Amino acid sequence: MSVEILAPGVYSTIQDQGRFGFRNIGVPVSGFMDKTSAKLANSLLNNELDAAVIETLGMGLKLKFHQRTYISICGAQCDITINQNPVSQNSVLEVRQNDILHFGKVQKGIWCYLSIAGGFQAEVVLSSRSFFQGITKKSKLEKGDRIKTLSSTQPILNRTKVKPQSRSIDNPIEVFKGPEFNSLNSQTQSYIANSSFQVSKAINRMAYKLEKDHKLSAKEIITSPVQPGTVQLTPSGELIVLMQDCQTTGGYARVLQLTEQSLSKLAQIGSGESVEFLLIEF
Amino acid sequence: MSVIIQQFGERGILLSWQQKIDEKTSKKVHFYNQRIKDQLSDFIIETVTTYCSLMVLIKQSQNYHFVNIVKMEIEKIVLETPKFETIESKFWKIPVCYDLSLGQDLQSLSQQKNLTIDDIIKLHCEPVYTVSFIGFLPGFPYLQGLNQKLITPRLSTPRLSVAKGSVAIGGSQTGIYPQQSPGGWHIIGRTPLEFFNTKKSTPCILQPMDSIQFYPISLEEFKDVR
Repeated sequence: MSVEILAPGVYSTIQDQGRFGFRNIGVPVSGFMDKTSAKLANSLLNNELDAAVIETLGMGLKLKFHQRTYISICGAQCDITINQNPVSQNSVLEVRQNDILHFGKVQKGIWCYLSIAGGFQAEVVLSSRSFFQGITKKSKLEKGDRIKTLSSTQPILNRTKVKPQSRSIDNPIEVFKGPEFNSLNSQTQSYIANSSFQVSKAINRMAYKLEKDHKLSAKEIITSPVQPGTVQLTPSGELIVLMQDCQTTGGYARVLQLTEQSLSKLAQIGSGESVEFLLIEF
Repeated sequence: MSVIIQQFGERGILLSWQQKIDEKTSKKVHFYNQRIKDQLSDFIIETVTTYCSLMVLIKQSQNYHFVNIVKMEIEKIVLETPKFETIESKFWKIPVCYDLSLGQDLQSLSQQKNLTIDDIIKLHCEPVYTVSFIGFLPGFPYLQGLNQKLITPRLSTPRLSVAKGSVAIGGSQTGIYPQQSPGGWHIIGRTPLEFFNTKKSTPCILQPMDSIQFYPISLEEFKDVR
């Protein structure tokens, strides 16, 4: 039982909840960029919420099913077809042997999730199936790859079409103060809390850089622990939001910390769009 | 007790000691790391230690106050044991081949520092280094204790590929690349030993606070060990 990659698209990987327990030996957490959407895709199929899915960025992913099974697609909105017939996201889809699934143009969002009944059975390395260079054999999916799947014997009768969380840009990103927030001067503090920042072109699974702002600056710190969702401020005024594949330590001031929900939300905001932070208390 | 204990995100507790890089502070960090892991193992996922900070990550719970309760427990542990003891660590002797074919930057470093290559090797093998923490890449040890004469700013343009086992100098630190990866440090040699393997029950041989010392081997010995 397997799924065959005919074309990997811009950047596709296998992801699950991530790798916990190895950060003290420098192994990043990894895992779904947009947890909310990945878990939604799994829940539609009655999978474990943390079952492994294919996460794809941009258009072009094309795959072939070698057995009859059920799938669901959530996350970024894109033009998706099965055997060239448009199909809808956020619902359960039945696929047959030799069906070809194609991810076309992305309309909104960044990361799209394909879940399959039972979850993708990629190799577990250090307690997770999430791809990461140097940890798993592969760091991204390539043409010709075959990913093992479970045979699904029972039909999934879940005919509900779920409504994904709305991602209005007016919706501010909720953040806690980071460890160095209080050591910033008061103007910088209020500027960060009351301005909007543009997402730059430099976005990937490690970090989303926001456009440089010359009104901002912070001194470097002695290398200290960081985690996904930590917002670093560099001496030159760059805000860097650390994402799932980030290193475990860093030397820039940690000024904010995104909530887990807002981290999923930010992951779907693309280059050129703007974000506002809303400070909340613990 | 000069430590700040604060919440860091929904599931993190951060302990920050006096912000300086020295052995005493590092030992303190590791003593309390061990204490907290021993006494609160049911509540925590994992911890991350650096020079003078410790991040404790708390398991998910339905109880909204759970993180706060664990935070109070951590405060109690730190207050109740104001005196720290040095926790036991291992000492490793690591063979390094400083042949010019493996230490691509030895020649340029020798010119830059006005030292002979033999001087560099001697200065690099003399000290006993401490593993401050593992970071940057899976299994990459940051080693403290580099001789002042060898301190060198990182390459202005990092290399796209550094060979597995490369021993390098970056700023005031030295380290070992546990696998092939990009890197901006000056490569002075290579060790034939393997330090990181996900298939092993202990994937990373070196642990924070371990002590290590390098010793030179010839190119023939390097090839033999491999």
